[in-house]
Amino acid sequence: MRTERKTHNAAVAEDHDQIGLQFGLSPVDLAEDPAVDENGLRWMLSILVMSSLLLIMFNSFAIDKWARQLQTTAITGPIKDAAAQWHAAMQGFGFDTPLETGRGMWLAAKAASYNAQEPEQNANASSGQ
Amino acid sequence: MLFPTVTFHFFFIAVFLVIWALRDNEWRKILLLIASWIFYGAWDWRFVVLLILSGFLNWGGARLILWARFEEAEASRAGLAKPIFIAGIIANLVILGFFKYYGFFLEQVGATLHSLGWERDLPILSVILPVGVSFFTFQGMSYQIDIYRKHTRPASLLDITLLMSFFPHLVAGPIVRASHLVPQFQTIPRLTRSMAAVGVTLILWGLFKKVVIASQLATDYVDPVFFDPTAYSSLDLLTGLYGYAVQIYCDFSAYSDIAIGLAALLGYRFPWNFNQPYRSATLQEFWRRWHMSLSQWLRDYLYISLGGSRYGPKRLYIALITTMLLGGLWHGASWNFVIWGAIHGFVLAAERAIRKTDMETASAVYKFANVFLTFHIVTIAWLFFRSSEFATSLAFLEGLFAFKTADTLLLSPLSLALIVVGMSLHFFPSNIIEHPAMLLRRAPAWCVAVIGVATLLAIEAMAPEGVAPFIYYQF
Repeated sequence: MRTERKTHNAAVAEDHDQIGLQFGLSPVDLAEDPAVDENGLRWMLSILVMSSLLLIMFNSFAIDKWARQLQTTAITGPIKDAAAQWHAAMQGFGFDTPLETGRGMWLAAKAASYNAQEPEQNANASSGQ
Repeated sequence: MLFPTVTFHFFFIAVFLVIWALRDNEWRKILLLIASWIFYGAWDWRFVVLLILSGFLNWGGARLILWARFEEAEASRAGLAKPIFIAGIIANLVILGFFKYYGFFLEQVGATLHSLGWERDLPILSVILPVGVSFFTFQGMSYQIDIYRKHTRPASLLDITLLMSFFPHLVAGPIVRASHLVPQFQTIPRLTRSMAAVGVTLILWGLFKKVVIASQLATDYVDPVFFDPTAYSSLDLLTGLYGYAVQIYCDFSAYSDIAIGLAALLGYRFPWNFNQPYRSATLQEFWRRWHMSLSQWLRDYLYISLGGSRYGPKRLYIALITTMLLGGLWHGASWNFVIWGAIHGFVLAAERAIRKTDMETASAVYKFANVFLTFHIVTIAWLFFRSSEFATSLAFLEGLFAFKTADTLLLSPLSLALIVVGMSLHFFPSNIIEHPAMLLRRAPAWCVAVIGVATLLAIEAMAPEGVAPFIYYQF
């Protein structure tokens, strides 16, 4: 009986080995580093606050786009206006330059073609998106 | 609610602040549950009712199994637990079957009756497919099976409903099991710098793969090629097929990366789900690297239950083929998914029957040849997986092998570059996430914020108009 059980367990173990990996391993598990203070909550909160402020300034385009997609109601109307004004103000300060520069380069890469006569058409199609 | 959107960004920041402000673990779980329902209800509030009912069903089923076990021990009344367990599994399959396969089943019955001369219409219902129903049903089933097999401890209703509803994995996995996540729910989570650094890295990496590679390839190249394969040259069809192999990997692994990252920021560990699958030298290895939480689920609850390798080669081949056929059907009610599963099942069985060489000791050339062959088998199977109909798959294959040329190419230098980048991800060192995360955790907060914002702006600059839902949302 015990031998049978052992054979069964070995076969199950072989099945595990043949078909998949051990369950439960996680990418979250990093090797310990004694130089790092492992209390991460305050650190992460600081990252969230700072990155949110930077995004509000440098990616006002996304906020304006998001606001424009909201249905217009008594609550969302002022949000839409404020988002549009904020985006215009950030554009005025030139904070949209990094995003626009990156987008320009990306659109130029998209317009490149292996077909001899098409770059102009592709560029038009891309800018229309 | 889609991950790569401003709405989700606001939602997650609110959840993060509220969850970490709470000291009581029970309240934290209750609020996570409510947040998960809000997240899911953004698609359709009726789905939330189904999710809650499914949670009750699996928690209740497990309690009944435990009660039956107690009765068996106390009153010597054998055989109560098994029928309750079977009823619980059938109830889950009925939910899945109704939402996913009802229409397909009636179509097949209708077609069969029509061919026999029966001309009447069948009662077709328009059933909306709830997002992620396959994922949360499998999670609920695994809890009941584990309780029946005594592989996990019973959990509270709150823990089980949260296990099934937890928003990072709710709609497209990883399929997290009770034995893995419930113990984490029962202890007060702690956010370490390491977890936060991995979380941030995975979220940024996932956004890049989804928004830049997968969505761009889909809109500019793969979707048009699969929409009308007859309109394109053989070269466009071939690269379109490679493009889809890259797209589905970048799309699905991106969802998993973002899900694991979000959970890490809330203090929970999710398992790996992808590990550079296209570097596999055998299909067996591919399934150790692709959608690992599903392949492990199928292995533990289906393949081993069907006998696995315990009853000789013939039974093993049947178990492998049946597992993969059902794995194909799990993705959806379509003959194309069955064909996809059949290709994987038969090749897995053939590998077990024929292949004897140990890849660890094989020469580099032999190993490369096998990686090349395995990738192409997987890619041919993707053709059936992606095509809307069997006829489209055939038209695609016909065009592919017709060696047809055309005056213009749809393939652009950018699409080619994205395909090359997407493929190269499988041949980088496997700790591609670990190293940046280890560097980030040593950096001051302002530095991580600047790097994060610069990366997000770069992704935003390369984003196509609108973001398509993740491919696996439909499953």
